[in-house]
Amino acid sequence: MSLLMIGCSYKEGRLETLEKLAFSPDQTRLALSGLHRRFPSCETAILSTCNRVELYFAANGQFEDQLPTAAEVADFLAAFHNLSAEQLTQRLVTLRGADAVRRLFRVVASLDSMVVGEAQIAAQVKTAYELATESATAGQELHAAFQAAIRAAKRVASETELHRRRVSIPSVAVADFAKAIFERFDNKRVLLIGAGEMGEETLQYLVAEGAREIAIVNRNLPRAEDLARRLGGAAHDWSKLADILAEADVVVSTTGAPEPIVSLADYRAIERRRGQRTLFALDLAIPRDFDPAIAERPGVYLYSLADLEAACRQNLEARRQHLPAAEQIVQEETVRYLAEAAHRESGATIRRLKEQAAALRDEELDRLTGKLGDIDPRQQEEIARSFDRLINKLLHPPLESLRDEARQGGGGGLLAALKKLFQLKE
Amino acid sequence: MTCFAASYLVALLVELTRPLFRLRFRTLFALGMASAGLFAQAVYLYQQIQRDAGTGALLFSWYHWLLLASWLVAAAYVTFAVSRPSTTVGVFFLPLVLALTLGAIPLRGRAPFPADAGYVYWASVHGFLLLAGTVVVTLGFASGLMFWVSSHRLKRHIPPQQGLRLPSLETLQRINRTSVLVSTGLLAAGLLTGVLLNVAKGAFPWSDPVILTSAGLIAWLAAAAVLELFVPAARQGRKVVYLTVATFVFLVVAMGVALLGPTSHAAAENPNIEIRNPKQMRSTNGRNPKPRPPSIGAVSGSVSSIRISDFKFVSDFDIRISDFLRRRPP
Repeated sequence: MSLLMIGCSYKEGRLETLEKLAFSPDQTRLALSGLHRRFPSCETAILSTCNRVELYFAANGQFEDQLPTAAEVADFLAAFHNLSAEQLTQRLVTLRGADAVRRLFRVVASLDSMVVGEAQIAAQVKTAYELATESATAGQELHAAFQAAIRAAKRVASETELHRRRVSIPSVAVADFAKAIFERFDNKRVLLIGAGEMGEETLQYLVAEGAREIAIVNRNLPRAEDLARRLGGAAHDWSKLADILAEADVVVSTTGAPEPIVSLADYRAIERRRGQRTLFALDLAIPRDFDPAIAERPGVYLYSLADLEAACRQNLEARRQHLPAAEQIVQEETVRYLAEAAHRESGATIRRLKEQAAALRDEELDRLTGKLGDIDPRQQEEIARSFDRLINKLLHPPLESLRDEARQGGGGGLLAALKKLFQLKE
Repeated sequence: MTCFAASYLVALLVELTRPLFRLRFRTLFALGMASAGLFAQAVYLYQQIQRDAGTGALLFSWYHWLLLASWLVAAAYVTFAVSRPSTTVGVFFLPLVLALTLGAIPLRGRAPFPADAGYVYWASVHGFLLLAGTVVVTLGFASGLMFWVSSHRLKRHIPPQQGLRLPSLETLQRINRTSVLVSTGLLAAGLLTGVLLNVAKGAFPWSDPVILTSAGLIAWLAAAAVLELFVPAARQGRKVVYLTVATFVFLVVAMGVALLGPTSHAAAENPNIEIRNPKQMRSTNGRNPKPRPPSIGAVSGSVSSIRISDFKFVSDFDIRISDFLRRRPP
């Protein structure tokens, strides 16, 4: 089996090239059909994310020479996306065999991601594989490669802390801080001040954690109503801010106000009504929406964007410390996969060789017994055993060398030689 | 005993290395060691119960009392750690387990508490209630410390994953509140049974320092419970923690007084243990009691002589309670 990867990622290509090359799910299905028509002997899968577009091809044994070249793939992509094939060829990277396997495994384990350890890539790879299966362009070879890649990613996730450290502001805010304060969110009152993108994303994390009672306060009420419709909350007029803040357990603030919208005096005014209930406040605005002095009030846990960025940086650094262990796992899994693939392939060749030898033995045995005429059945059996021993002794050394090569994940040189020497047909 | 103390110590040491380096099966190993200690301690306590079967003596010595308390705290730790494997609570629970376990060692030679025949059952109830109250206060203290550390870290924006991952503040606050309310009930019931026992026996040691500190502790807990129930601000955040920590300090003082002070709860070393028979008891609790030794300062080791007769009073009411307490409930 041979795996081939042709494509580019944020490391090799410019982001604008990636944008032009990107495939939507429908486009992926269309492209997979087109590639299958053009390279019918190859299995194909397309992985398209915002940071990479990679086409994986696999072919076994006799069809390895029918794998596409980089130029052919560039032509196809150029035609599909209406781009210049010449420019595209320069930007595409081609990896074969062990290099392609290692690339796939690193990608799935999120070691090749722009944000190392990000969780989305595993799901994106699964989607790519499912689309290929749906389009009937993924067979036994790609199945084995993707399954092994997912196994490697699972090992990285369970044996290192690479994925446990979150690095985006909203995820750190909710998973690292909000969940350290509150056990559950379905009985908490969440207030979103402003309807910015960061606030919306944070709210999505809170909703995923079970938040149900959501109030959105924005100077522009229709925008708050739109967000409330999408996330299942209630929009309120700006004048209600103090009242809702007095009842809130979690506050996310992302306004573009030039001055703090909640001063210390404002907070003190509602403090009695709060009864010193815990308040988790995320001030994601620049400049800040909450007076920093509010953080000193009892029961208030106030986080600014700078605080969360510092936590993100620490987490990213902690992830980097786990990189060597993760790379080691990927290396082990790559070797294991290549050995398994070689074993699968050599197993089929060995079987064919033995069948061929058995056919020759039977042919020669028939010829000999025909010439000898009527012989004792015991003698006939002894002759057959001798033939078997001869064949086994002749085949044992080359087959053992072949198994050794497979175990070591060798390049398949012996296998090819054996096929040629014994003229084995697929 | 060395066996389970060593198990707890190893579990604690393993937990303490958490911020220093990564160990693949650390949690499993620490839990395994603590569970092994828990099992060994259970076997040891069972043997002690078997040895003292029929005398009801298990809770009647400080040694056993502290060992049982440490076993219960260790059991609470293992249960908590198993139910929340992502948290690291061992560094808070295990020192308390070890303190209770090691604290029992010097008390091994001490005599049992005074236990008059006929009152063994109610004396056991008294001991168990105080034991349960002590364990709940200890657990509340551990969760209070966790709250304080976690709150301190969160106020300073330190992500919880860095070496120490504790339960949420909401959970810790709930444990704190529950511990204040439950321990108030248990300790008050324990003190009440103790008072009734002494009244039934015909003598109540009003000036016993243990009684005084225990009464102080109950008063404090009652005030804390009232605050908890009726003052909303007192239910929140650090205030609950202060209550549980102060309660624990009160408890430690009460135990210190009980162990070291001049009290009928602290028997001398190598005493002549004497369980008085009911006939003697009847004459002691009867309408014409015999004169008693004058003060606890004169205690020579005989359990029966640990009384402060100056404060003894006898009435028909005492006799009725006495009869009631002698009857072991079905």
